[in-house]
Amino acid sequence: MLSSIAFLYDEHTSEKKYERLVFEVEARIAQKNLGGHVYRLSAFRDFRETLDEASRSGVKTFVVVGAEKTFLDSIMFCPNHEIVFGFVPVFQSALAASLEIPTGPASVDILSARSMERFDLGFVNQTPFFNEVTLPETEAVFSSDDGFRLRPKSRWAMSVRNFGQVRLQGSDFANPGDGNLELIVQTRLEEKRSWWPWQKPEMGETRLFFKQGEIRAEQPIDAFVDGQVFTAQQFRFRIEPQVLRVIVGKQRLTGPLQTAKSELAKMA
Amino acid sequence: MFARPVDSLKNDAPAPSPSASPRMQNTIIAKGVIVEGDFKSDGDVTIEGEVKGTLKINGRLIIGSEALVSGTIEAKDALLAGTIDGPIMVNGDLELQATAKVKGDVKCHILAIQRGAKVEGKIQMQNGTSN
Repeated sequence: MLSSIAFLYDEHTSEKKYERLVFEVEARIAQKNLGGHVYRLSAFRDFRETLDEASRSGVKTFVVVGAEKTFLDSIMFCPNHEIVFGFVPVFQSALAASLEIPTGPASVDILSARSMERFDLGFVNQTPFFNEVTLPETEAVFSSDDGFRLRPKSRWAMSVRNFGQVRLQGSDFANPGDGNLELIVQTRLEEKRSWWPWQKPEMGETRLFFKQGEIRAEQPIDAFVDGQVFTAQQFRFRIEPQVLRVIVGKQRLTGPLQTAKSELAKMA
Repeated sequence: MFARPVDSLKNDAPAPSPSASPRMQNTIIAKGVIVEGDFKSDGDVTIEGEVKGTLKINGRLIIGSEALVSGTIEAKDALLAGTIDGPIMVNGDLELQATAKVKGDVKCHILAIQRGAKVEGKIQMQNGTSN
């Protein structure tokens, strides 16, 4: 029998400390009549194969039970983005907080409420990403397809954000539904020679929006795509607007983002 | 068991989420960064770094006191405090701060110049008056 909903339990859910919480989640899933096919990730089960199998078997809704990274990886590696993604975090997650999804069994109520939001999906060298791509200090150059390029005077750190739930200094949350990617560049303005070693150097923050562009370096550099490391000399970016569907808390659809922001502040 | 499948979602149409609501895109080019080429924006733009090329801004353009711009500027409104080498065309209000140094023709609708600002070029008001 084909099931239209599938649950993917990651390795964290088999840890002893989450045993009771996972049991409560399963009980709530049964109580809400949301049961479907269950996949369990382990060291012997390939993540991509599991997603392929779920996608081929006609799954329409794919729910990750576990960690934030597993949820992001499922979006990155899922071959079919027609699928609706759900998330049941088993421990605190900044991403879940931004999506107004509580931790543990309460998140099953969010699945049951069936409120969905469409998000843009970013792509870097054909790999999809939901949250952000970060490049540690580099001298790479950013070029936009709109006809301009950005060159640093010194080394800089870059971040290309779609959802970007992490609030950077002075900047607001990225807007994952505006059809744009957001480039954040942090440059060290000057080397301060201070007697106080803990004094932080002055940083400049550049912030601009683009739809297509690339970051190119003279040597291969590392980029962290939603936590996965990719090494290349050129990273080409584009965005597909409103293609990703994620089950979110109703508060996100009806109220301001204050709750998510306050939850993030509490976690900080 | 499958009485309430999650895939038959109620809100299949794009939801008017707070994050999806139109938001003014504020672009900032900070100190230590050089922009080369044609830079366009529909929102407000603040420049503290260096620009070598054309700026076409449909919102308010702010050029900081340490910023350097070599090229043409077109903006809806502008507040300039930095060094600009090139023509400036502003559809609305243009304010030149005391630290502003402009080398090029200026065209605007309403102009305010602070004491100390330097302009080397022709100033033309959009109502036709030329100085």
